[in-house]
Amino acid sequence: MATDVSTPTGSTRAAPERKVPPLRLVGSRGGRLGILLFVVLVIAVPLNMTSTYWLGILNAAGVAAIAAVGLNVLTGYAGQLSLGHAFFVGLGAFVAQWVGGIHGLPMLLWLPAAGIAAALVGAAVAPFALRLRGPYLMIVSLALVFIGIYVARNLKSITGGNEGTIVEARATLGPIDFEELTLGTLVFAREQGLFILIWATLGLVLLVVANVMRTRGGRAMQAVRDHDVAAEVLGVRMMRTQTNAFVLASALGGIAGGLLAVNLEYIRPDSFNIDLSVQYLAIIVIGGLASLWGPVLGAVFVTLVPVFVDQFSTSLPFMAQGGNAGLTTTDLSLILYGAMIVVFLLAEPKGLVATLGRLRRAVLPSAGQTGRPPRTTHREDTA
Amino acid sequence: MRHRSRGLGLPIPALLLCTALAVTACGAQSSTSDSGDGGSGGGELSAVPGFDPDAGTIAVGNLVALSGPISATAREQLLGQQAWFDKVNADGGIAGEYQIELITADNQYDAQVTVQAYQQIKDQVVMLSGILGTPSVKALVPILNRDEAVGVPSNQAAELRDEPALLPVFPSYQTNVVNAVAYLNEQDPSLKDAVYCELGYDSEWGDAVEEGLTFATEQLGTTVTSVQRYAPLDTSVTAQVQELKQAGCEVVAFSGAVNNTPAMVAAATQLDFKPQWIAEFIANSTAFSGTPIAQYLQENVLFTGPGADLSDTSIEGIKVLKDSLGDTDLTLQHVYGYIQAVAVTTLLEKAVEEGDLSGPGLREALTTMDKIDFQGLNGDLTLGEPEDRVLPQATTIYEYDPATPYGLSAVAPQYQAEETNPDF
Repeated sequence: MATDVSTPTGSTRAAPERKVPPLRLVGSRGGRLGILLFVVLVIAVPLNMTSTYWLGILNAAGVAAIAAVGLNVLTGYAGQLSLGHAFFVGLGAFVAQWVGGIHGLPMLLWLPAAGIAAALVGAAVAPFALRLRGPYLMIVSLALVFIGIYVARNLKSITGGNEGTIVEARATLGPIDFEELTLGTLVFAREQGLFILIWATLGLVLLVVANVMRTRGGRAMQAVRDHDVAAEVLGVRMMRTQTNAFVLASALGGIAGGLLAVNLEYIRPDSFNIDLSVQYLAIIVIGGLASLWGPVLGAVFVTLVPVFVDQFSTSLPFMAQGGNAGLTTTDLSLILYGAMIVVFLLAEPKGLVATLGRLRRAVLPSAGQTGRPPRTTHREDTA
Repeated sequence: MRHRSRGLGLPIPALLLCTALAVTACGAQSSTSDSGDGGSGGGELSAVPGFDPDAGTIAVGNLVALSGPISATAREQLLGQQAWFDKVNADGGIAGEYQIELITADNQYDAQVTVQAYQQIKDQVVMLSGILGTPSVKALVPILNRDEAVGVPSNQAAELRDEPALLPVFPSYQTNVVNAVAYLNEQDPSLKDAVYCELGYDSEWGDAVEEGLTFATEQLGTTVTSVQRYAPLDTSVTAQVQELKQAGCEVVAFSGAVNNTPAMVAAATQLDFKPQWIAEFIANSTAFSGTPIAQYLQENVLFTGPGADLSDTSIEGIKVLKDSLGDTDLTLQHVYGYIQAVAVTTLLEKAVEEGDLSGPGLREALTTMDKIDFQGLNGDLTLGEPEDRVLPQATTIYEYDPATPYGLSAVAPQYQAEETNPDF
């Protein structure tokens, strides 16, 4: 017998007297303001930024954030460790090229197709993979990456095999071509148009995930993460709940893959390897597990570290210049990147989101003492 | 009863959006503004990104793996380029007026990083003097085409030779194998009936070597018996070498870099497998000197690549490199970068002569070039329209020589098989 964990026992009897808040897409005034600010930023940032380099960096961060939001559903909210996320991102990338590039269909079809294909494969894999947990699931999900690369290498007609393929899918939405965006006499660079597309998609993805986590299914995921036996006792169907999380995570990975393909314009099977999966895992750990904005902060942080290192590299004496010996920006970035993961795991396991929250409370002592409790939930919070 | 909207009110976002658009629309370009094509229009060179006529400098960029397993050899390429640029600058610069500056960015041998690195430096350079890694080059081609830019690929992929955005300069992987097989048969005609095999990267490089070996064996009236592949980061190839041994392979073409050679030698030694190997020069390293690896290489491996006798200072390129490097041992990676740099300065001279250093101007200059003098370090390269290009058909054959600092000694400089394929 299944019990709705989202509705406290006895609540139906009290309903006629109690004023039940209507279910809305955005639950608070602050949330609505946040969305408005996000929309303004999505349009204002590319308009104010002429550097295609910085826009390219932010576009890469946006795509990584979408993929990481997906992994966060599975790992952060549902508590399932996975190293197979790169497989779903790669699947989405090649499906986007197949639907949008080879068949020439518009983005309205190839982007959903990338997500749906990844979701279907996720649904097919989940019942087998989710019989395992912890490190065992991680190993099985890792196998997906290797199988995916092997299959992709041998599907030359779609993937280009070892050589990869140039992506011909176009980011068009009806008359709007995000790759050659124009507004009156204003002509946007490709990176500017893609910034709007990628970050608008990220906004929608965040909205969807935030609302899914408020539903019965979303709360069931968190219940399973916090105590699977207790959740089952309360009537949560564990396998179905975990499968839902797996499918949603896969779908978001697929969508990220489609956007990555268009952004990069060239994809090859070997790009979707274990390193990419580890990178997504690092993003959600650094950003903050089981928090809505954690993957976004983590993606921006992880993407920007090497960029800032590069900016200051010429003034550091131990850095290599030209072909001479010394530390490269990549070496230093990797050192910092690894150090950050260790620091966050030891000193701030709740990630950048918690750090920012602490800073906010330090600046505004009243913040956090009133109103709703923070949305970030962790096993430690509920244990 | 009055209905009060609780959703997102339209006026507020609309107002904010309008404000954002009206106040901040400074990053988009007006379609009615001048495009600034960088052309001369009247015989005097105009400033373009990477070219400052007032300072008298032309900057070129190199996207190279400054980190990772091949960073040491990649840095040697950079030093080779710098050696030639320093020589040109000392002689007065391009057209006797403009000094060349080399700007580098680490592409980590990764296609996505390469795209970002290109975006980072593209507004600082007139062209790319190097793009390391075939996947990186392929990722950049559509972007270079959109930007109407030009780059020199740091690879030997034959399929890229007719890309308008690229200035390919080296003999292809296929040609290197074809020439090596022809050289072996010239030295020992009994190898005509040998069993030919490949141990190759599971990538386009391995595909290219297989294609070249297939062509070479067809000329001999035989076929490729066994093809074994391995992943670039595999630390053991024992299973693949075992397969080759069981197939009775007598000549094996090996596509592998310096980090793969120890695994190949270890497996072959362990299995007492001693065929005649054919390898690219990038499979060798000065670090092998004095090790058991060197002994196996000396007895069993023939190397191919561009270049010449590295001790022959009568060759202009070798002399310039040795003068520039000082006490540093000269390697074929230095020569590799040097050859690219020669191609770059030749193109820049032509573009200055035609009065346009912009991307389209460089592309136009590229189509009007015929041959490049590589100072005895590379075979003849036929340029012109992209579809008419023919990559060098000659390859220098090297043997491992422990007496030389680098380890490779040229036994057949600029050797060319009787039957070659101009599509390679």
